Amino acid sequence: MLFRMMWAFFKIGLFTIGGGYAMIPLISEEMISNGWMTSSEVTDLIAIAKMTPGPFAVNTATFAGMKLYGFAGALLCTLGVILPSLLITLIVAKFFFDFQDGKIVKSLLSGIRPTVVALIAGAVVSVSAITLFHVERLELILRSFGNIEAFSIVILALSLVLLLWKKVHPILVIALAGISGIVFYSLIPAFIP
Amino acid sequence: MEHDREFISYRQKLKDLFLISLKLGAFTFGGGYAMFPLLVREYAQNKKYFSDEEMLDILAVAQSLPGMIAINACILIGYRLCSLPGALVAVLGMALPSLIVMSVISFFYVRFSTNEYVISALKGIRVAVIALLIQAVIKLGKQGVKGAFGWIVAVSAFLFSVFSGVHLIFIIIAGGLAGILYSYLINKENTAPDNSGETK
Repeated sequence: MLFRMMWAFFKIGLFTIGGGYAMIPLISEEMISNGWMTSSEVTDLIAIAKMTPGPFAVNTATFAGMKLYGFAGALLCTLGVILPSLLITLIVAKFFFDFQDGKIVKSLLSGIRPTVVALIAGAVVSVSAITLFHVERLELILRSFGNIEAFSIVILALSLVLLLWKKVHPILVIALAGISGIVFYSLIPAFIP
Repeated sequence: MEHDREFISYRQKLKDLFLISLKLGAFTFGGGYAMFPLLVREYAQNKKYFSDEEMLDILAVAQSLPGMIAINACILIGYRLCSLPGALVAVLGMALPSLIVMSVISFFYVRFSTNEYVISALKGIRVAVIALLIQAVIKLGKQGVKGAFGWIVAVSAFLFSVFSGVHLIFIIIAGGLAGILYSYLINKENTAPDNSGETK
């Protein structure tokens, strides 16, 4: 089972071009479809990996591996996600350093770049389904608008304003959202019974 | 400073590779794009191993290859300075801090995810993650989705990823193939190299 997880991270490393965020859709698909994590846990993982220094995918692989199989899992999953880079980049470094000017690579990337953006947009939908609408299946979203809490709408709107217009650092936004969560769900109910 | 490079020993280069990677891996938040200006500062401005232009080439290659941009950049830099051992040492340095820090966090996450305050904090944080993803879509979309072709690919990939059970890897492969088909069959003139202005 550990090697299946390592293989999953190998695939994640192999099929994402464009770095950390581009990996989120694949990570979430692999983790959820294999039953290694729930979609809430994947969302937590994204936040934690974002708040921790270092490359996002290494953080993710370490976290997931450690959670399921301890330190050996962390090590092998990290190795899995780095291995494709190591093989492919070394070949490129050795044989064709200026390969990016090649026409095939350019046209390949002209199709992959918009695809990756679309997959992250897809991740917005699936993370919203579970976080905002509290439903597991997307078909249920339309019937579940009643599930949205006012608190979530406020936090989402404020986070977007801070990130997009005020250019606040993502780590600060995550921290503020966490503090708001504690105040709203734990402290206020404790003081106002 | 050019001649100084020749006198730096192999061992010194390996040591620099490891220490720079370790430092950036431990203190840079935000992965590839945040990492890159720091790589330029360390390798081009401080150590003078590369020129700024060479570093830009390295970034361009690193971000068009599969995998993490920061790791790919480390491999390219390490390989150029000390061939295979250089690449391995640079990657090890970059991954080591994450490996240690995230193992500790994961250990505590498993134990504290049932704590009432942690649960409340995560409720807020999960909503903020949606905002982070939306920001990523906007940021990457501005660079990555261009022209009618880009939008058609993006919209169809989005619909497939949300409404079909197709594995995302196949959607990525299909996107790449669409790019190749488009530039070789439909858009022959416009993607010709050194396209200097009006081709029509």
